[in-house]
Amino acid sequence: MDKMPWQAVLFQSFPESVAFICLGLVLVGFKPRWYRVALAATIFTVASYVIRGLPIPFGIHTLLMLPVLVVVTAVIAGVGWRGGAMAAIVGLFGLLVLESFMTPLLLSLSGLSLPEALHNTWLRVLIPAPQTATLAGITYLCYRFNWYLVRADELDEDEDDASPF
Amino acid sequence: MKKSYQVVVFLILGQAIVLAVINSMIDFYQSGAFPVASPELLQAMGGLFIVFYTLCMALFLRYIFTKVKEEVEYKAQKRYTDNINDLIAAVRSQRHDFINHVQAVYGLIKTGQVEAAREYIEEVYGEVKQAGEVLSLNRPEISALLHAKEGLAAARGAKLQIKVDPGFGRIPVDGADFNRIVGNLVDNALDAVSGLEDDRRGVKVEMLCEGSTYQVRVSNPGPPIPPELRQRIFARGFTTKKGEHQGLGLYAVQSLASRYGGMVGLNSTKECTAFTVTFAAKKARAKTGVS
Repeated sequence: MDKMPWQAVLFQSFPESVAFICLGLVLVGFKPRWYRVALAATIFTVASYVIRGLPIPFGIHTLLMLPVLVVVTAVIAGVGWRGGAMAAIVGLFGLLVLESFMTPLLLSLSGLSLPEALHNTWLRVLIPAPQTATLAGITYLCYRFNWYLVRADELDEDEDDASPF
Repeated sequence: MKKSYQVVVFLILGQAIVLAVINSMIDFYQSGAFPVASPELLQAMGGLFIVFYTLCMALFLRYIFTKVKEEVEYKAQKRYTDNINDLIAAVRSQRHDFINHVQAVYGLIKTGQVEAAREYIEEVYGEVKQAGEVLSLNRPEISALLHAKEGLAAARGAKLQIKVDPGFGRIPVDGADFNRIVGNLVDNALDAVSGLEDDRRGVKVEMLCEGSTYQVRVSNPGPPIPPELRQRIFARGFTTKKGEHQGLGLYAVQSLASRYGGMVGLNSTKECTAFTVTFAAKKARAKTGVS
């Protein structure tokens, strides 16, 4: 159970949500519409705040937030269910990969421990800031140079193939 | 994008997300930041992940094998397509040469060489008719094979004569299997005539259709097959050829024919050896569901 202070919700969780939702959309070939992304990120941030406050082991909340992320990306960002699922999974994957090596690195550079960073409101906002900035930078580069992993706008073309699924 | 690709992407990234979550749970647990999970829960999650991962890998492997099979089929189809294109080019060339042939015949008739004109027309008509019959099969993969075998025969100094009954294209046998049958029989016949004089080096392929019975007959001149060998030649691994031959050709012909309820017959005399594969349409459909 993690009760986030409002400063962390506003200045860390919301920008991070904007960044990785954008990343997911860009990497699956969509051009994000900023007002829709902002709305999706807002709803996701609120949902994240609520789920994190639940009495469940930390980490499980990430798996619970995935369906929420799929819904907000598909419906609010307006990219359809398959596109939304693809963008959600790719974006979340990008966030977790970056987090898994940047968070320990930043903590090590700052000389702080994880409990210290988490239980101080402003440290909780500042420590992940470079990570959010990196995520935003990667998203911008992918958008600028039209890099993508898969083209989700072709997702509805069901070609007749020998699929095992 | 194909559905199968999407599922593969979901599976791979999904596994990575679960792994990342377990990793961060371990980090938080070790740091004591706030209560995460008991070691037993972490172990259980790890175990579940292994099961999930194994299932995903199994599905992914199956996907890869399917794709490899598709790739092989695609390559085979491409070969057929290339051969069909050659056949079409040959027919175009024949049409283009039509005026030349007419002029040649006119010249022969004008100079009183009627017999020569007749022979000339017979030869040209034979080529055109054969190409037309092959094309009229309406089974591109079979037409492609026959055209390829014509080229092979010519390269080996032999002549391949093809006769196709109208309607033979409706034979309820898979194209790839049919090609293996005919391909093996023609290859054997070409080998059999390779030692003969030039004027006898000919192989005949007849595709006959009578009612609901389809017959493929491949015949060639040459010494007869000894009676004591006539059953053994269909055995797996048996060969009379020198060099590296696995002895699988006629075995494959018989196996494939049986798969469609067909029969392989052999008639070998001093004048001619003929292999005949007979399919009854009803049996073939019943055996394989090919319509």
